Amino acid sequence: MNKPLELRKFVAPEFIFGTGALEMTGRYAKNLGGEKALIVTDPGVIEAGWADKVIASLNEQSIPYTVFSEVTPNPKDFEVMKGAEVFSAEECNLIVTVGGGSPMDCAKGIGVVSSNGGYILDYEGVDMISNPIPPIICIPTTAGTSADVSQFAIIADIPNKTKIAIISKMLVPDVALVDPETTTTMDSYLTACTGMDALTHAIEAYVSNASSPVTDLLALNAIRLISGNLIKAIENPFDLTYRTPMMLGSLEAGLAFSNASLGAVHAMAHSLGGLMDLPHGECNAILLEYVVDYNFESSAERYSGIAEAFGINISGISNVQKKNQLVDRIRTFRKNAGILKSLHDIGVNPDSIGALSENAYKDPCLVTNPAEPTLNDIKELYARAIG
Amino acid sequence: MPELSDKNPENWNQLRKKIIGLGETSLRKSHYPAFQQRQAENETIRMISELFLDVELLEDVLKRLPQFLSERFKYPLAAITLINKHTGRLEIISKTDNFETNPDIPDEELIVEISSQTVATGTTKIIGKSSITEKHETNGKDQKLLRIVCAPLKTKLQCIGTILLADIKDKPETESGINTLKVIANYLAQEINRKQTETELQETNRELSDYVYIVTNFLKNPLFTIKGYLYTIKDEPESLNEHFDRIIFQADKMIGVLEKLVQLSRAGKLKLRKETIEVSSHIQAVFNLIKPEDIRVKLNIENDIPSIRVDQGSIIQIFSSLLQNSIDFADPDKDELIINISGYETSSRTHLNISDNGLGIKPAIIEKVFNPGFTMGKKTGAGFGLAIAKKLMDAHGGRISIYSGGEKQGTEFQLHFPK
Ligand SMILES: [Fe+2]
Repeated sequence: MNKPLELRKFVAPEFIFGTGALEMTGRYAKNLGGEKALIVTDPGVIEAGWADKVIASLNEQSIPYTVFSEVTPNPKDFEVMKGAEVFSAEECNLIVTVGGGSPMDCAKGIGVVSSNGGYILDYEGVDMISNPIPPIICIPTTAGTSADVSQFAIIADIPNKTKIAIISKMLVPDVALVDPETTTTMDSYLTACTGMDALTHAIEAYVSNASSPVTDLLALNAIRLISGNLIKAIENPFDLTYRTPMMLGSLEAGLAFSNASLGAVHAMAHSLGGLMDLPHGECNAILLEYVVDYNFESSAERYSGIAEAFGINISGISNVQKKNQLVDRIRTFRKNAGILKSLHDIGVNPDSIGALSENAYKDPCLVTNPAEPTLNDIKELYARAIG
Repeated sequence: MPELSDKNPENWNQLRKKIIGLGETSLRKSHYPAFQQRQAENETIRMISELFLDVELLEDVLKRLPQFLSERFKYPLAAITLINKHTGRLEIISKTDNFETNPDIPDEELIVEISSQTVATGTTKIIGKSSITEKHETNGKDQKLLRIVCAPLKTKLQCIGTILLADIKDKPETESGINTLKVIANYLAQEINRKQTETELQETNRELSDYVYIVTNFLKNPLFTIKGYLYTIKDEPESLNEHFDRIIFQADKMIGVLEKLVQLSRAGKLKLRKETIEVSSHIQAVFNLIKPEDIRVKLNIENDIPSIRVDQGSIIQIFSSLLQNSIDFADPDKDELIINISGYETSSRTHLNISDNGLGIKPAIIEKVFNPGFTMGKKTGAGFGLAIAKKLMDAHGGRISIYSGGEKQGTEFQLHFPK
């Protein structure tokens, strides 16, 4: 247990986990005083039919709604502003968001602007939101991002080609309805990417210098659940036997990282998402093994715990061996999940390393990374991941 | 957010502490409903303050307010009542258009009654369907399902009127809705009060410049004439007898103007003692006093003129001014001057018409007849009668208006008295 005397708190929303949780949307909307709901979602989720299920549940309680679906992956500042306009114009007083990380982060941004005015990018940073935001109900449809339980919102800053992090207790949703069934419509590559994102959350939370005994418990169990079920969930997309533990693993990882924060993988992935609009999960999946390799020494004991959670037998082997085995295991796991590309393959070339590293170096996620990388260290990490 | 790139360990540590989240300053999320209410109030107040900035005359602002309040609070009917400073009585100043046409909404009497109770208690009143049903039963009207909310317009010192909202549906009013209405009513009261004071100051300024105009035009000339006669007498003392009467005539003219000026300035500040007055006998009495010798006048007074509640001294002065005006502007080409008096009442007002077959007034100058000192080249008087009549009507919370078909088409005065 690290620094047992340091104060820690744990913030989590009320959440309902299990098949059918989605159908409680209407009741919660009513309990939260919803008079008109803004449904924030994206075209993919609408096509998969989950938005309609949410609407049916709201209809049951006769709660009127407006749908806002102009959200793209890596939600953009102007999309948030547009949504906030719709929220005010339609006189909504509650937000229901159904989808992956993008609609959920966008929904949080809409809430911030509707209550605080100004431009969404004004609220970059920690604890910068002064007015309470409208009630938010989150219904995740991926087992990865965990925006449904976190106090984070990541928004793309288009003018500056970067991503900003807004961190505030205000961003914790009022209720998360975590329904594993919603993840059955993900294709195998999305399942892989979001699963690797969740795994990264768990690992970075566990080694974070802001972790606590409660986040440790959740993070380690999340690693066990994800490492044990991701590949099977990809192979059997409609089987809830694997989807359910994946969703639970993602939820636990989310609760852990929301309170312990993240590390260098996310700092570097945010930079890639901001500068080149690359998918978040895929970036994390590629970067994870390089950062584990770099960080291992600074927190060998914690990484050994992670290796154990992966099922690696670590008794009687040296730290270097542990590190190599863990990095190997993560690499194999990524490949088995079907993520075979390098950063180079997804369009990152060495010319961008300077700008990417500068942005990653400013990302607040870096503060809780166990090692304190220099700017050069980050450049080197990018170079290795480009391959 | 602290910049990380300067690599200051102190900054990193601070940011890390902030991320862990101890000592954060944000409000609880459960404050959202209260926040939302405050935001709605601010927005409404902003819109009202813009209205007061954009629109110059208080009268015009008040005309627009009911529609605004009706939309803002989602009640089909909205009305504003204000206490008339002269009469101390509540009057409906403005209301939404549906007022006259919709039989389901409360009548003026009811609005004034609810508003009076609200002003007396100083608290916002919510009236559900039951009390309205009762009210309508006593009126023998149909039972209506009505929801009425009435909020006092309170300044720091006094209650100056009410906002009244009504709906034909009995929708329950939320506490936050009522609180918002109270906040808006308080703000509105201050703004109306401020604008009223502003208007009164402007009015006083205008009156002052009127008086300067009157003094220079009506007192300077006779004074110069007197001075001229006195110089003549100094040079030719024997002409004293010849000029004496002229000097006295000019001095009397000045005294006459001064007396009118005193009446005019008093008219606005008069303490009124209202009583119920029978119109025809009063008009007849006034007419007998000022009836001229040199022209034939026929005074027709209709039988069924309703009585009015006014200050007796004031109404005699008003009647005398209007009858004198008809006599002064009789058409010399006609055999006789005919003056017709008629009247009728509506639920809140009594109306009197005084018309003649005299010279009439050109449309171009009809607006000016109530200005103090306005004359149309008539021989006697100094043009104060109508100005005094108007001021006295204002003091009664009433209105005076004038119509004329044009030259030789006669003149009609309409008097509107509040009940
Ligand atoms: Fe992530």
